[in-house]
Amino acid sequence: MEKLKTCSGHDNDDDGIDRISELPEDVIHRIMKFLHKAEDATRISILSKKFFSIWCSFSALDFDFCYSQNLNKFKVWDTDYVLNSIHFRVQHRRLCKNNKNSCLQRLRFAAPLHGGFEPRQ
Amino acid sequence: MASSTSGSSSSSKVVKIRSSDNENFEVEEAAAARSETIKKLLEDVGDDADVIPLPNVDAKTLVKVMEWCKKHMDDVDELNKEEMKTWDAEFVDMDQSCLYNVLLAANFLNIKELLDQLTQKVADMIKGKSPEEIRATFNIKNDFTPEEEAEIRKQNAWAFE
Repeated sequence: MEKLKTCSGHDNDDDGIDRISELPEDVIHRIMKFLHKAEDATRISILSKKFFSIWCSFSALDFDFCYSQNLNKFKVWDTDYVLNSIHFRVQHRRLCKNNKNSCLQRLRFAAPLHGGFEPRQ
Repeated sequence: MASSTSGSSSSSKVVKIRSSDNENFEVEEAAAARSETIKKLLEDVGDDADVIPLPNVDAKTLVKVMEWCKKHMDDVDELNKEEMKTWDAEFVDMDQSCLYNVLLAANFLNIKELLDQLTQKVADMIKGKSPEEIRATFNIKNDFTPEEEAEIRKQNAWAFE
Protein backbone atom coordinates (compact mmCIF):
# COMPACT_ATOMS: atom_id res chain seq x y z
CA MET A 1 0.00 0.00 0.00
CA GLU A 2 1.33 3.34 -0.97
CA LYS A 3 1.95 5.45 2.06
CA LEU A 4 0.44 8.88 1.57
CA LYS A 5 2.23 11.80 3.04
CA THR A 6 0.17 12.81 6.01
CA CYS A 7 0.04 15.58 8.56
CA SER A 8 2.53 15.20 11.35
CA GLY A 9 5.37 16.89 13.08
CA HIS A 10 6.09 20.58 13.03
CA ASP A 11 7.80 21.13 9.70
CA ASN A 12 5.86 24.23 8.73
CA ASP A 13 5.48 26.05 12.00
CA ASP A 14 7.58 29.04 10.97
CA ASP A 15 6.25 29.65 7.50
CA GLY A 16 4.86 33.02 8.54
CA ILE A 17 1.36 32.39 7.21
CA ASP A 18 -1.65 33.63 9.17
CA ARG A 19 -4.14 30.77 8.95
CA ILE A 20 -6.18 31.34 12.08
CA SER A 21 -7.67 34.54 10.61
CA GLU A 22 -9.02 32.51 7.71
CA LEU A 23 -11.03 30.16 9.91
CA PRO A 24 -14.81 30.58 9.77
CA GLU A 25 -16.24 32.79 12.47
CA ASP A 26 -18.14 29.96 14.16
CA VAL A 27 -14.93 27.92 14.43
CA ILE A 28 -13.17 30.84 16.12
CA HIS A 29 -16.15 31.19 18.47
CA ARG A 30 -15.70 27.51 19.33
CA ILE A 31 -12.07 28.22 20.16
CA MET A 32 -13.15 31.16 22.33
CA LYS A 33 -15.52 28.90 24.28
CA PHE A 34 -12.46 27.03 25.52
CA LEU A 35 -10.88 30.27 26.76
CA HIS A 36 -12.42 29.98 30.17
CA LYS A 37 -10.71 32.98 31.68
CA ALA A 38 -12.40 36.28 30.90
CA GLU A 39 -9.10 38.03 30.18
CA ASP A 40 -8.06 35.41 27.61
CA ALA A 41 -11.31 35.81 25.68
CA THR A 42 -11.13 39.60 25.93
CA ARG A 43 -7.57 39.75 24.56
CA ILE A 44 -8.98 38.37 21.31
CA SER A 45 -10.49 41.84 20.75
CA ILE A 46 -7.13 43.53 20.29
CA LEU A 47 -5.44 41.13 17.86
CA SER A 48 -6.77 42.67 14.65
CA LYS A 49 -9.91 44.24 13.17
CA LYS A 50 -11.14 40.84 12.09
CA PHE A 51 -10.75 39.40 15.59
CA PHE A 52 -12.38 42.49 17.08
CA SER A 53 -15.45 41.84 14.95
CA ILE A 54 -15.47 38.15 15.93
CA TRP A 55 -15.14 39.12 19.59
CA CYS A 56 -18.07 41.53 19.22
CA SER A 57 -20.39 38.80 17.97
CA PHE A 58 -19.32 36.20 20.54
CA SER A 59 -22.24 34.78 22.50
CA ALA A 60 -20.70 35.13 25.96
CA LEU A 61 -20.07 38.35 27.85
CA ASP A 62 -17.54 37.73 30.51
CA PHE A 63 -16.23 40.48 32.77
CA ASP A 64 -13.76 39.74 35.51
CA PHE A 65 -12.38 42.93 36.95
CA CYS A 66 -10.85 40.99 39.82
CA TYR A 67 -8.06 39.84 37.57
CA SER A 68 -4.72 41.57 37.47
CA GLN A 69 -1.81 39.62 36.09
CA ASN A 70 0.96 42.15 36.42
CA LEU A 71 -0.08 43.52 39.76
CA ASN A 72 -0.61 39.95 40.88
CA LYS A 73 -3.15 41.20 43.36
CA PHE A 74 -6.71 42.24 43.79
CA LYS A 75 -7.39 45.61 42.23
CA VAL A 76 -10.34 47.82 43.05
CA TRP A 77 -11.94 49.61 40.12
CA ASP A 78 -13.82 52.84 39.83
CA THR A 79 -17.52 52.12 39.31
CA ASP A 80 -17.81 54.60 36.44
CA TYR A 81 -14.92 52.97 34.62
CA VAL A 82 -16.46 49.52 35.02
CA LEU A 83 -19.84 50.69 33.72
CA ASN A 84 -18.20 52.38 30.74
CA SER A 85 -16.24 49.27 29.95
CA ILE A 86 -19.40 47.14 29.99
CA HIS A 87 -21.20 49.75 27.91
CA PHE A 88 -18.40 49.60 25.32
CA ARG A 89 -18.72 45.82 25.10
CA VAL A 90 -22.52 45.77 24.91
CA GLN A 91 -22.63 48.62 22.42
CA HIS A 92 -20.22 46.90 20.04
CA ARG A 93 -22.11 43.66 20.33
CA ARG A 94 -25.31 45.48 19.44
CA LEU A 95 -23.71 47.24 16.47
CA CYS A 96 -22.04 44.11 15.21
CA LYS A 97 -23.38 43.09 11.83
CA ASN A 98 -22.89 39.38 12.49
CA ASN A 99 -24.75 39.04 15.74
CA LYS A 100 -28.22 38.42 14.41
CA ASN A 101 -27.81 34.67 14.77
CA SER A 102 -25.97 34.70 18.03
CA CYS A 103 -28.19 35.05 21.07
CA LEU A 104 -26.43 35.89 24.27
CA GLN A 105 -25.70 32.58 25.94
CA ARG A 106 -23.78 33.60 28.99
CA LEU A 107 -23.23 36.69 31.06
CA ARG A 108 -20.73 36.67 33.88
CA PHE A 109 -19.63 39.62 35.89
CA ALA A 110 -17.24 40.00 38.79
CA ALA A 111 -15.84 43.29 40.06
CA PRO A 112 -14.59 44.82 43.25
CA LEU A 113 -15.92 48.37 43.11
CA HIS A 114 -15.53 51.67 44.82
CA GLY A 115 -17.20 55.00 44.19
CA GLY A 116 -20.85 55.93 43.84
CA PHE A 117 -23.29 54.48 41.40
CA GLU A 118 -23.79 57.39 39.05
CA PRO A 119 -24.29 56.18 35.50
CA ARG A 120 -23.48 58.76 32.90
CA GLN A 121 -26.07 60.13 30.53
CA MET B 1 -4.51 4.80 -5.71
CA ALA B 2 -4.00 4.83 -2.02
CA SER B 3 -6.41 2.83 0.00
CA SER B 4 -7.11 2.75 3.64
CA THR B 5 -7.65 -0.84 4.61
CA SER B 6 -10.29 -1.78 7.09
CA GLY B 7 -9.45 -2.81 10.60
CA SER B 8 -10.13 -5.82 12.72
CA SER B 9 -13.70 -6.83 12.13
CA SER B 10 -14.05 -8.50 8.75
CA SER B 11 -17.83 -8.34 8.70
CA SER B 12 -18.12 -4.56 8.83
CA LYS B 13 -19.26 -2.69 5.79
CA VAL B 14 -16.79 -0.61 3.83
CA VAL B 15 -17.58 2.67 2.11
CA LYS B 16 -15.60 4.54 -0.51
CA ILE B 17 -14.86 8.21 -0.12
CA ARG B 18 -13.02 10.51 -2.50
CA SER B 19 -10.84 13.47 -1.59
CA SER B 20 -10.81 16.81 -3.39
CA ASP B 21 -7.62 15.75 -5.20
CA ASN B 22 -9.32 12.58 -6.45
CA GLU B 23 -7.81 9.98 -4.16
CA ASN B 24 -10.20 7.19 -3.26
CA PHE B 25 -10.26 5.64 0.19
CA GLU B 26 -12.02 2.61 1.54
CA VAL B 27 -13.07 3.10 5.10
CA GLU B 28 -15.19 1.07 7.47
CA GLU B 29 -18.65 2.56 7.53
CA ALA B 30 -18.59 2.77 11.32
CA ALA B 31 -15.49 4.96 11.12
CA ALA B 32 -16.73 7.13 8.26
CA ALA B 33 -20.05 7.62 10.02
CA ARG B 34 -18.31 9.50 12.82
CA SER B 35 -18.72 12.30 10.33
CA GLU B 36 -22.32 13.50 10.46
CA THR B 37 -21.86 14.84 6.92
CA ILE B 38 -20.82 11.45 5.52
CA LYS B 39 -23.47 9.68 7.61
CA LYS B 40 -26.15 11.91 6.13
CA LEU B 41 -24.83 11.39 2.60
CA LEU B 42 -24.83 7.62 3.12
CA GLU B 43 -28.40 7.72 4.37
CA ASP B 44 -29.43 9.79 1.37
CA VAL B 45 -27.86 7.57 -1.27
CA GLY B 46 -28.47 4.27 0.51
CA ASP B 47 -26.74 1.20 -0.90
CA ASP B 48 -26.48 2.73 -4.34
CA ALA B 49 -23.49 4.75 -3.28
CA ASP B 50 -20.43 4.19 -5.36
CA VAL B 51 -18.03 6.79 -4.06
CA ILE B 52 -18.85 9.62 -1.68
CA PRO B 53 -17.07 12.74 -2.97
CA LEU B 54 -15.70 15.15 -0.38
CA PRO B 55 -14.82 18.22 -2.45
CA ASN B 56 -13.53 20.24 0.51
CA VAL B 57 -10.96 17.82 1.92
CA ASP B 58 -7.64 16.89 0.32
CA ALA B 59 -6.14 13.41 0.59
CA LYS B 60 -3.42 14.33 3.07
CA THR B 61 -6.01 15.80 5.44
CA LEU B 62 -8.52 13.02 4.87
CA VAL B 63 -5.93 10.41 5.90
CA LYS B 64 -5.44 12.26 9.14
CA VAL B 65 -9.14 12.67 9.82
CA MET B 66 -9.90 9.03 9.05
CA GLU B 67 -7.07 7.98 11.35
CA TRP B 68 -8.97 9.75 14.12
CA CYS B 69 -12.31 8.29 13.04
CA LYS B 70 -10.94 4.75 13.09
CA LYS B 71 -9.52 5.22 16.54
CA HIS B 72 -12.84 6.60 17.73
CA MET B 73 -14.98 4.13 15.83
CA ASP B 74 -15.98 2.05 18.81
CA ASP B 75 -17.79 3.76 21.58
CA VAL B 76 -15.60 4.63 24.52
CA ASP B 77 -15.36 1.70 26.94
CA GLU B 78 -13.31 -0.73 24.93
CA LEU B 79 -10.16 1.26 25.02
CA ASN B 80 -8.58 2.41 28.18
CA LYS B 81 -9.60 6.01 28.68
CA GLU B 82 -6.11 7.11 29.69
CA GLU B 83 -4.61 5.48 26.64
CA MET B 84 -7.19 7.28 24.47
CA LYS B 85 -6.36 10.61 26.10
CA THR B 86 -2.68 10.13 25.34
CA TRP B 87 -3.47 9.14 21.79
CA ASP B 88 -5.72 12.18 21.31
CA ALA B 89 -3.08 14.51 22.76
CA GLU B 90 -0.50 13.13 20.33
CA PHE B 91 -2.97 13.36 17.48
CA VAL B 92 -3.60 17.08 17.89
CA ASP B 93 0.13 17.80 18.23
CA MET B 94 0.66 18.87 14.62
CA ASP B 95 1.99 21.91 12.82
CA GLN B 96 -0.27 24.86 12.18
CA SER B 97 -0.77 24.12 8.51
CA CYS B 98 -2.14 20.66 9.34
CA LEU B 99 -4.07 21.91 12.33
CA TYR B 100 -5.80 24.43 10.09
CA ASN B 101 -6.64 21.88 7.41
CA VAL B 102 -7.86 19.24 9.84
CA LEU B 103 -9.93 21.88 11.69
CA LEU B 104 -11.64 22.93 8.47
CA ALA B 105 -12.20 19.29 7.53
CA ALA B 106 -13.66 18.43 10.94
CA ASN B 107 -15.95 21.44 10.58
CA PHE B 108 -17.06 20.49 7.07
CA LEU B 109 -17.41 16.80 7.93
CA ASN B 110 -19.23 17.73 11.12
CA ILE B 111 -17.27 15.57 13.56
CA LYS B 112 -18.09 17.36 16.77
CA GLU B 113 -15.76 15.52 19.13
CA LEU B 114 -12.77 16.02 16.83
CA LEU B 115 -13.70 19.66 16.33
CA ASP B 116 -13.80 20.09 20.11
CA GLN B 117 -10.36 18.50 20.50
CA LEU B 118 -8.85 20.72 17.82
CA THR B 119 -10.44 23.97 19.00
CA GLN B 120 -9.36 23.09 22.53
CA LYS B 121 -5.81 22.68 21.20
CA VAL B 122 -5.88 26.13 19.57
CA ALA B 123 -7.35 27.62 22.76
CA ASP B 124 -4.47 26.09 24.74
CA MET B 125 -2.06 27.87 22.38
CA ILE B 126 -3.77 31.19 23.24
CA LYS B 127 -4.29 30.83 27.00
CA GLY B 128 -2.20 33.05 29.24
CA LYS B 129 -0.48 34.81 26.34
CA SER B 130 -0.31 38.56 25.79
CA PRO B 131 -1.85 39.92 22.56
CA GLU B 132 1.66 40.37 21.14
CA GLU B 133 2.52 36.75 21.90
CA ILE B 134 -0.75 35.51 20.34
CA ARG B 135 -0.08 37.55 17.18
CA ALA B 136 3.45 36.14 16.98
CA THR B 137 2.24 32.56 17.51
CA PHE B 138 -0.30 32.73 14.68
CA ASN B 139 1.33 35.39 12.45
CA ILE B 140 -1.65 37.71 12.88
CA LYS B 141 -1.11 41.18 11.44
CA ASN B 142 -2.18 44.01 13.69
CA ASP B 143 -4.18 46.31 11.37
CA PHE B 144 -5.41 48.74 14.01
CA THR B 145 -4.19 52.30 14.07
CA PRO B 146 -2.38 53.11 17.34
CA GLU B 147 -5.40 55.21 18.33
CA GLU B 148 -7.89 52.40 17.70
CA GLU B 149 -5.78 49.93 19.61
CA ALA B 150 -5.34 52.35 22.51
CA GLU B 151 -9.12 52.86 22.73
CA ILE B 152 -9.88 49.12 22.91
CA ARG B 153 -7.10 48.62 25.44
CA LYS B 154 -8.44 51.45 27.54
CA GLN B 155 -11.98 50.09 27.51
CA ASN B 156 -10.80 46.59 28.37
CA ALA B 157 -7.92 47.61 30.60
CA TRP B 158 -8.86 45.01 33.21
CA ALA B 159 -7.92 42.24 30.79
CA PHE B 160 -4.56 43.72 29.87
CA GLU B 161 -3.10 44.71 33.22
